[in-house]
Amino acid sequence: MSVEMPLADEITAVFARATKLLLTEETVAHALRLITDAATAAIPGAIGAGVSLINRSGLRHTTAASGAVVAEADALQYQLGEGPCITAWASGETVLVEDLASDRRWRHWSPAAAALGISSSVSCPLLSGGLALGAVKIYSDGGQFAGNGTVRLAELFAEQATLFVIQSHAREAARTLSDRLQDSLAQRDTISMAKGLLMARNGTNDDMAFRDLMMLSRQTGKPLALVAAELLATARPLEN
Amino acid sequence: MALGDEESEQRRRFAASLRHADISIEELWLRYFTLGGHAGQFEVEAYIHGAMALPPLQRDILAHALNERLDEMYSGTPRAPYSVDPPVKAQDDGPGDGSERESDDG
Repeated sequence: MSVEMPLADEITAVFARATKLLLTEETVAHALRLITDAATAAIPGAIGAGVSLINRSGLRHTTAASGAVVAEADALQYQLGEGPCITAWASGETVLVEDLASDRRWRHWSPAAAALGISSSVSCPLLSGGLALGAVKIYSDGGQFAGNGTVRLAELFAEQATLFVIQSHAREAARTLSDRLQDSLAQRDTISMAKGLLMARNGTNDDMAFRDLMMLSRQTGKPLALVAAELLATARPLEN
Repeated sequence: MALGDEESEQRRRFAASLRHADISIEELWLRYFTLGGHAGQFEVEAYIHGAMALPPLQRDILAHALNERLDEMYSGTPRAPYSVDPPVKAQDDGPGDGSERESDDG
């Protein structure tokens, strides 16, 4: 199972989804877009901002980007496997690039990003419970980000974005769980039907029929659900 | 909390088998639920810790869920006991004791 949550949490998630308590994907995407727009507007010298999501299988993509340069600079990071967002995600710490032209931390990405016109950037990890889910980054062309003010602002936007990303993860988990619950409910149903079959056949009550099923399972060494399925498969109309 | 002697012995042996099953309470409960168990996760956990009683059939379904897990692991750990064990001599291939089954399937 890809997502292991305590079952009570899983059921809560399914219930939340079923009752539309969770935000829709469109709402989350829209909220992230608003955050990147706000970050661009709030930070002096910013030309655009984006949210990168990095999931368990290492898949990286930019879910919200204000400006084509942001999308290009991000795509370069994913292609090259290096860059400030990937560093921020991997280290769990904010990465400030005051002057890209003189920065030597990313041998391939830095010159490529500089060629796009980027002069400075700040990347903050999206942190949740010790996990880094991705990063928020803000780029500048011509300007140079400096000082704690920029970093603090960027981190505030990252915290907001994190809340929405957690929402979309809860959706994903709820979807996974639905499959698992459906399997469980289907087996439970099969067992229940087999129990009814035995009750009708043997004229017993349901507890006794259940004990019969368990006994069959023990004697044959087969799982109860399999015994139940076999019983149903071989069921014939009652002769009467 | 007081469990009856028989229940207490069944629970004790259940808990001993559980320690070798490498399974979380959540997962065990899901298996128990899948088989048709009625008790909630909280009750099951309380039973395992000896804090709450469960009716015999529910205890047995829980034991069966654990035993299926041990079977899957091909574990040599003794299986969790049932409250109603058939009074058979041979424990592997006895035809049951026929007490409830009419074996008219087939």
